[in-house]
Amino acid sequence: MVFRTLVVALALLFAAPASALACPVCGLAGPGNNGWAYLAMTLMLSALPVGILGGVLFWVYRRTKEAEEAAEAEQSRRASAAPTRRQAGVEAVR
Amino acid sequence: MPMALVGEPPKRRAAVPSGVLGMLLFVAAEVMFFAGLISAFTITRAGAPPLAWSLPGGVVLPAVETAFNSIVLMMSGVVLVVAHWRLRRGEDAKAARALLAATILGAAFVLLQGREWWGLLSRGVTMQTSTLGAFFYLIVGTHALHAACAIVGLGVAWWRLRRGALPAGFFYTAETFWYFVVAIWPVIYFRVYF
Repeated sequence: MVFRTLVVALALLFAAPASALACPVCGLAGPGNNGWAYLAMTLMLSALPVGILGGVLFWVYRRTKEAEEAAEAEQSRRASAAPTRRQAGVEAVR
Repeated sequence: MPMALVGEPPKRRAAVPSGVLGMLLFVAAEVMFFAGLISAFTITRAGAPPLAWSLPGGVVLPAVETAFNSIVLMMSGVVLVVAHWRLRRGEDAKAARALLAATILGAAFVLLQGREWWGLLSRGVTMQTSTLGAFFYLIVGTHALHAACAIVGLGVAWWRLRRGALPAGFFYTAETFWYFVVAIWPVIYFRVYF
């Protein structure tokens, strides 16, 4: 079964066209030398959304982390500023 | 037995103002919109026959004059950064002056661009006369429309700051949109004018 699958796969590989375009729209390039334009713009339009969303998400992540750290610092500052029960008791006795 | 709430829930500071996050998502969509326009421009230009990619009557796009306009726009962005820092330091009067200056510089950019358009139109360059003309008016005009909307936002921010009623979120949102308008212009300028 594996052998037959391999033979069919190899047959398909050899029967395939000599050249295939990895870029799905580059085949639309006309007689002029504008294949590079299709390729470059395909790359740009593919990379931009990923880059933008990645950048926004990373920025939001950083801001959230900073806000959490600030909140923790504030909480610990308040905790250290408030008198403990024992200290409060001592103050009451005095 | 229902559980009783003990004390108030802890107050959480917003990591990112909602307006800024919304504006960032809008700007992301706008970047893709301009990328689509520039992509169409680039592909059409690359496929155009030699000498076909020009304006009628030997008219050329005013690249030098637009370079001056571009400097005005960039200065507007820098002045807005100054306004931002003044506002963060609590120097409201100085921030208002810087914000007004940024708004005026932005408006000057749009007006100077309009003057160039008037010159091109008076020489017979319209959207119908050539493909380059069509793309020029479409891309640069769309940018000018965005700039005009952002200037209104900055103007409202200045007005509210003068009255002492400017929410920080509103300012940051208008600021984000203006930075987008400023940042995308060099890409448009170098792609379309040269």
